[in-house]
Amino acid sequence: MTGALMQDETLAGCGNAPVQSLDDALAAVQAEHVAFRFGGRMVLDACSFSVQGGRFTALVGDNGAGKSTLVRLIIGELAPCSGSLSIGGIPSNKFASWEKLGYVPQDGSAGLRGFPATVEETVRIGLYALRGLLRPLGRSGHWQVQDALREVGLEDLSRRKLSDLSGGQRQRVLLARALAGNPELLILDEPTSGIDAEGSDAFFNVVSGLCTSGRRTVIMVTHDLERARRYADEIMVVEDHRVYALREGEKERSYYA
Amino acid sequence: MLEYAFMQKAFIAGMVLAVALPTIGVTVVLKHLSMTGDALSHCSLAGVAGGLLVGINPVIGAMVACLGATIGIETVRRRIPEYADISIAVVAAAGMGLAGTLAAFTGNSSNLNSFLFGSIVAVSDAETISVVLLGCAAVAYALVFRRALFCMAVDERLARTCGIRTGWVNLGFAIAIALVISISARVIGALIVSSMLVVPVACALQTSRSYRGLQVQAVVFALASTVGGLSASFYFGLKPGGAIVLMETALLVVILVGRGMIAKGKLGPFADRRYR
Repeated sequence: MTGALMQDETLAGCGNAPVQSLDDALAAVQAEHVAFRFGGRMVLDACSFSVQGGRFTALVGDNGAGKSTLVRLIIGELAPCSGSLSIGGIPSNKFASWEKLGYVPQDGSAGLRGFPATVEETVRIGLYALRGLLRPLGRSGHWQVQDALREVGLEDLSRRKLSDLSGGQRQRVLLARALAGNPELLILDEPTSGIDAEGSDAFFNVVSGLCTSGRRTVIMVTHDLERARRYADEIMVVEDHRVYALREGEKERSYYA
Repeated sequence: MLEYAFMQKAFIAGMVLAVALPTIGVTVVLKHLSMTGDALSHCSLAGVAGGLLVGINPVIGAMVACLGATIGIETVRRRIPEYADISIAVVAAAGMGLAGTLAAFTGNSSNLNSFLFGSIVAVSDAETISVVLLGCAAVAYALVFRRALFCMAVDERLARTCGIRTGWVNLGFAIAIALVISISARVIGALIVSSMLVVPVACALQTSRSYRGLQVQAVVFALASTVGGLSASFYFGLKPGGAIVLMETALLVVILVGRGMIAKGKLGPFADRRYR
């Protein structure tokens, strides 16, 4: 059913707008017939989709469906076996404008549970792509970090150690780090896993607020279809090795029933 | 004590290593590769035995073996990322096996034994200069790439999206750690070097409130242990390498007990410090 939908109908989030310039087009991810195999097992097969700029797109699907693989393909960590994937018209394996991309990895919060760094030190990482690895970040760097923390509601915790924070707060620190360089495209890989309902609501609320200006595009991998429906502009489902759009009003798939 | 030339050289070599080993060790510990030092020092013994066998300077043999071992660990780690510690166990076992096999052919075992426990009070002028040069090079690398190493310790995938060439940084780090450990094995002993890499960092993890604090405090703890250990070895006739490590371990025990008392509120005014 969904396969036909993919081919015959207009997909949610499938803008297919022609690429004008890097700045205009950067906030758009486009995949054409992308296939990826891992150890002989087909993970993604002939996936074609595009993510519209300035929108909050949620990427949902079962465990092992290939959501995180898709993210790794988008950021160029993995190369597709066939097909092409681009960020703002630039092939993902050649993408180098890292200052325009913010990324929150899967299990990032769990990895930071005992990490011996302050909130500010962690958020400063987000400026490395913009400022380089050697240039002093200075006062302006400090204010950029404070702005990012304010955006996620953690401005009072900049000197706190990560291990003193809750899982939800650590996750927002990771989001602040991704926002510090003021990127145009944010990619969040299951940022709310392991967070309670209240923390998840707060996180989704912050993320949906990031797209209101229309300047920032968010792609968020999540299992939380209910909140994705409530907060996201578009929903894409990874299922049966393909990527489908979940349109408004469409009946939920059996695995979410 | 410092009027003796051998103690002067011991202090210079010891203090350079006390700065270099924990500086590198912070990244090793945060990447959950604490046993790397053990594996590399075991492999350095194989290099020493190989060097003695073919008639080249054993320290150069140790360096070559450490470089090969570091690349081996990194290769296995990438192949089996879920069980990164396996890579260390495999390389350590191979290193010890090779060292044991080659040692049987070297004939003179005294030189090999000097690498087991080191001989910091018997280092030559050339070895002291080597320690200073290699130690400074390792510290310089760690300082120049401190942001990249910090970012990669947090998450390597994240580092990639910060524009960091993780492969090159990892290679540079592997070379730095291999060089420092191979020269340290000569000075403080292959069986002890990994503790100097890890124990000061373990102490600093208990006391620091930030990443920068962790780096500074690890070096301070290592310097204090080295000065204390060398002084104790001079006045009480102890083995210097062993005395340094015992000093570090004692420091860690004191810190852990102190932290426990603070947590239980037994240290009055310090009781709630960690919650500020």
